[in-house]
Amino acid sequence: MNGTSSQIGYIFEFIRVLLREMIRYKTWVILAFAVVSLAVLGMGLVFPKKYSSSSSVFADQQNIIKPLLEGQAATTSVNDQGRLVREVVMSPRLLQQVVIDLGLTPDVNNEYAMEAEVIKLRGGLNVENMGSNFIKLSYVGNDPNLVYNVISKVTDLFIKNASETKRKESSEAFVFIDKQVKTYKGQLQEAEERLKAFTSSNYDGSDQTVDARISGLRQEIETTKLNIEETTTRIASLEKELSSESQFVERRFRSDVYRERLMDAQSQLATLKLTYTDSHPDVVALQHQIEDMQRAIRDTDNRQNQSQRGNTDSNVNPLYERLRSDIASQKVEVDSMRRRLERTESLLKDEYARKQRIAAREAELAELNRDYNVNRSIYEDMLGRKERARLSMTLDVEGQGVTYRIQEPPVYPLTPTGLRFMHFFLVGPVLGFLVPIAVLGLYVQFDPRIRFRGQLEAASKVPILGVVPHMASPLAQRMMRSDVILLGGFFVIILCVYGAIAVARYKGIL
Amino acid sequence: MEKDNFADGKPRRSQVVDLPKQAQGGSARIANMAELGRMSVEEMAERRIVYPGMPNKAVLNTFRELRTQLLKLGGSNNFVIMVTSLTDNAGSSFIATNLGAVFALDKTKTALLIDCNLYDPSLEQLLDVEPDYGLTDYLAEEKLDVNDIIYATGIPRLRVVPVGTHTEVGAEYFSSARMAGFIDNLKTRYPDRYLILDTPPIGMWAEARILADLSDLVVLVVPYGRVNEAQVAAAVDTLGEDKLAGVIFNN
Repeated sequence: MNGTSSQIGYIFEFIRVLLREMIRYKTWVILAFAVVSLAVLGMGLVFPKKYSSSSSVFADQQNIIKPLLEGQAATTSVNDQGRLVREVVMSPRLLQQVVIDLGLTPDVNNEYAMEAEVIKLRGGLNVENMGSNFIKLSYVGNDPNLVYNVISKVTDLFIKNASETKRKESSEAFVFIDKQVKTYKGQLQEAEERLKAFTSSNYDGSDQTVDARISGLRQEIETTKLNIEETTTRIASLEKELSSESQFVERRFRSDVYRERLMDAQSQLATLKLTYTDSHPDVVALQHQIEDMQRAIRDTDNRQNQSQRGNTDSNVNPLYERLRSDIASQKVEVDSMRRRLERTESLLKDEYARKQRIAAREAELAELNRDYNVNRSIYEDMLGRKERARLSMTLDVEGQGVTYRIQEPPVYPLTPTGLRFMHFFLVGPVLGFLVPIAVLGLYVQFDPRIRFRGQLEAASKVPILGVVPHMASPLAQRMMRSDVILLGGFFVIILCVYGAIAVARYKGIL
Repeated sequence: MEKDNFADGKPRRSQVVDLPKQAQGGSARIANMAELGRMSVEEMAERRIVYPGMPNKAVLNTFRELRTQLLKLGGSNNFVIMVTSLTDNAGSSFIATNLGAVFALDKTKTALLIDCNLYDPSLEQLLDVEPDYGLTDYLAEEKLDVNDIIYATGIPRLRVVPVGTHTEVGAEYFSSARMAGFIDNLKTRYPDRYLILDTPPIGMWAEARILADLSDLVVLVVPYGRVNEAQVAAAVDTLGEDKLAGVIFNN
């Protein structure tokens, strides 16, 4: 609190001292005012008028090679659009074209004059980025006509130049991709050839077929083995059956039948005798039948004995024969199955060997396949891109896909920009006051002589008894008054001159 | 009454004041002091002397404040104040005159201004006519009496001793015993009389240092914007802190 109040006190004292010094050097202050303000006004009179015009250009950030080769090739990024545009706009080629088109130099072949004009243009031109996609081209000069013409021409030339560049870029991209396509085509054909050569020199077939064959063979072996076992078992049981059967058989079948019938008839006769007498017709008939049967039995037995003696073959056992032939055929079958088993096993061995061969060549085949597939996919992709590049090129050739276009055309500058006479006119009196005050302030600040109570307090070890205010005698006051009137008159004259100059300027006299 | 004889603005006669030889008591004696006609307000303003009711109250109050401070420093008795400065035209005569004027404003006190500034005497402006004798004459000529060199001004209770005519050898006179006796005599004769010495600048002449020995209090006048801090410090060292009552910053 105390510090700030003493600081404020110091400021007030400083202002008091400054005013006093101004009064003391009043003549010089007025003179300085006159000189400074009139000098500023004079500067305003001779200060050249500046005109400025600008156009803004929209820039499409996309590079043509980028979408075409997306994922395939890394393109250099277009980092600073503004810098690129500046390079083009400031290039001597473009500026020289501007000089020639606008006829800025009478002699086009004079290189020095040309260079001077180019440098002048470059000095006035400015290119700045307005956000990411807008570029502002501006030109500042003394002649509004020239300013307008220059900025229009520069913008036109730049756009033309940019589309030409674009066209060139896209056709180059097409040529490049076309070349790449050819290269990949060659590579693909080579891979194809290699693959063909490999497959033609290798008949082993694939791994899968071999596997299927092996499993088939294995299954066959299993089945054959089971069949052999089964047949062997069957032979054994047949042989056992055969051993229980006799080679020859006796023919007693008819007489046996007669005997059974006889026994039936005898039992029936006994039953009949229970009820009937021996003279009963049924009993008589039955007795006759029994007799017939006994006779038949005897005949049959006689015949049998005769035939046994005459032909032995007719007595061979047929079951026995049948069993023997069965056994023989089964044995043949087992033999043939055994041979087949051997054959199948040797085939399996062959297949194993083939499988090993296939595994050895598999890696080679995979490599060839891979090579081929990669080449083919790239080639197909490239073909698509090539078509797109052709399309882009066509677009650019027809002027459809330009990346720069004029967003805002240049406007004819009607009013000058920058410092104008009005500014100088207003600033003149202000500076006229401020300069002497500043000089006096510096003088008071840096002059070592004591002007402040604080300075005296610091310098003397004894107390300050008092500060006597300034007291002017009436004579001094009268002199002062006359001085002030004189200086006031002078001040008014200066202001009149100042105003007169300004009015003259606006009337167009100066 | 004699003191108002010339109050109507007629030209005043500079004259040797008839000081009563025998001591009289206080106010009555002062009231009986022979006075010239009063100085008019315009004349005082022209001579830059303070007076009650003047438009510039700040100056009057400043000098009253100075008087109060000096009286406090001087104790109960009257004293000799030396007013000196650092440069020519620093306003030491202006300060001395106005100190005398404010002392004399008090009806119970008188003030005597002694002009010791041999090189730039200025107290004669308080007098209308050229004085016949002054301090240096008194110091040079044994036969002169103190009364011969004390002059009344147009201001009540304010007397002046002008510098005189023998200004070329002043410094030697000031160190004489006659000078010391003169000061002592003036001081002790009336206990209500305050002596104010106006001296040349301390930095430039030796007189001020000699006179400082004779005085009770020293006041250093520092002019606005004319001296630097080193000069002030040097002057303070020269005068010594015991006698130096303080500095006055004269704007």
